[in-house]
Amino acid sequence: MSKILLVEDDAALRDIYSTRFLAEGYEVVTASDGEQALTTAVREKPNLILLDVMMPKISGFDVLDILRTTPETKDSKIIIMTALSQPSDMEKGKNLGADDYLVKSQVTLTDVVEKVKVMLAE
Amino acid sequence: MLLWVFLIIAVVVIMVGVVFFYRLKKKKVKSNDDKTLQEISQGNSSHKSQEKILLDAIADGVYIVDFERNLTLLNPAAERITGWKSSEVTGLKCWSILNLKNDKDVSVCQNDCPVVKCWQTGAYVTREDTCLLHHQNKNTVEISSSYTPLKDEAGHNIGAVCIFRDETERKEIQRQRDEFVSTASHELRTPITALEGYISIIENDKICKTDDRAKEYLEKAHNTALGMSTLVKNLLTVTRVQNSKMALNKTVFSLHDLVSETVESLQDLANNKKLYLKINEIENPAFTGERAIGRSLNVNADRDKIQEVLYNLIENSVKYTREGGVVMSISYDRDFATVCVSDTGLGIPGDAQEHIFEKFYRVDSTETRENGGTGLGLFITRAIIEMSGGKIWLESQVGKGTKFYFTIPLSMN
Repeated sequence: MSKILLVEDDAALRDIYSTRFLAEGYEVVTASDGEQALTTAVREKPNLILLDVMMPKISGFDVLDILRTTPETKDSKIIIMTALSQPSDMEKGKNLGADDYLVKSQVTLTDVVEKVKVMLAE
Repeated sequence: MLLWVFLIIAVVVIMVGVVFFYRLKKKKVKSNDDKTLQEISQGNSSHKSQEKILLDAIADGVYIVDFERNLTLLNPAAERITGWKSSEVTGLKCWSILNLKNDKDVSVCQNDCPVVKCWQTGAYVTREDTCLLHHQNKNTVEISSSYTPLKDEAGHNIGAVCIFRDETERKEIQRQRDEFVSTASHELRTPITALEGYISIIENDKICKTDDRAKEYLEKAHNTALGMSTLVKNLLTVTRVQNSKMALNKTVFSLHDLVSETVESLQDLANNKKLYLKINEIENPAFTGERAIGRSLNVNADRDKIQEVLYNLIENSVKYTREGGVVMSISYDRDFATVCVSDTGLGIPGDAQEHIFEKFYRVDSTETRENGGTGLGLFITRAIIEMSGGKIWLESQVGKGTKFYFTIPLSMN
């Protein structure tokens, strides 16, 4: 069973996404800020990380940068999921090593689930 | 004899005096029409002319230039706004103190001078965009302005009058309002997303058990949440457009593929109303061989944004069509691809056509009231097309249908 780390500062969205992923049969762990994301990622070694960008303490971009240079997490699949829709932000996410970049206003819950399924099947 | 000499001298003096008096009198009653621009502007007459009283009383800035665009007059309001005294600048070129710059901070005085434009067109010219004029104390002031040609009796341009208004305060209020809309939309987006998410997990059979009646209401609630989400998204796009913050992520792609893909994904929407939605391929006679068929040509634009345009136009057509359907066509010329969305719908009345792309504008009819909508879709659509270097227009006849056309630049590669 694949394990997903969901990093999201909004409690409602954390609740919704984890409920949905649990229903799809995944194991889900969550973090509500950048700092928690780093400690949880190293401890849990998830197969895939869904990563918000605008969060308290450490931003998602910095978390991504650190995860990619940490031995325990450098091979995890990482999907950025953020409200930031500017091309420059997308570029930054890709350059820092994100496997995919989703803009919250452009995807539905089902779209996200599908992306995760495809990525974990690879 | 001496008396005669005196008499003759006296008569001559009187005659010269009378002639002189009449000439003087004539000069005094010389009508304003005969005055030179300089005389009107400087208000040389000993008493305050009506024109002068009027100019002094106007709260907007007024300045006059002659046919060489030299300043001849600033009214008190113009002096206040620009920080220059009329007497200091008379005779100087207007751009030396009123250097109008557009929103890209490029001076319009050399290449796009509104005075020259009003002479060329013979009509008055307005500048609605933000112009900055260089204040004596190096501040810039945002103004809106209008220019009217001044002509002599023969109809030759002898100068121009500019009326301008300090818009700094109004713009600031507008900025605050836009910022409020932007912040409010951002704040609304999070709870709406949560609402939509919770509804979708209740609707998911793997997570919750609901009966048919609950499902029906949930579907309605879900659609309402989606509608709210679209509204908020549109409001955010509008504020981005207004603040020139909308960024385009340009790529080279096949317009034909994008149109096909979009038409396919909207097939259900049309089917639900028993309407057809199809693509009509046009071969362009301007091209022969491989380039003759549209699908081999690529455009250079933001694919997602152009898809948003297609969604907006097709959804509108479907919304306002009762019978028949919607036909898409693409044609190409040397530089542009032209897409046409043609429907057999209600049509748009002539007076509404010129306002249809304005923000929050909605055609007032039973149909539009029943169908809902924000009046933002076509505003955003036009902004996207114009930012992409294209144009958008329409042809419509009430009762027969509407054709929306837009162009996108072809990729040069």
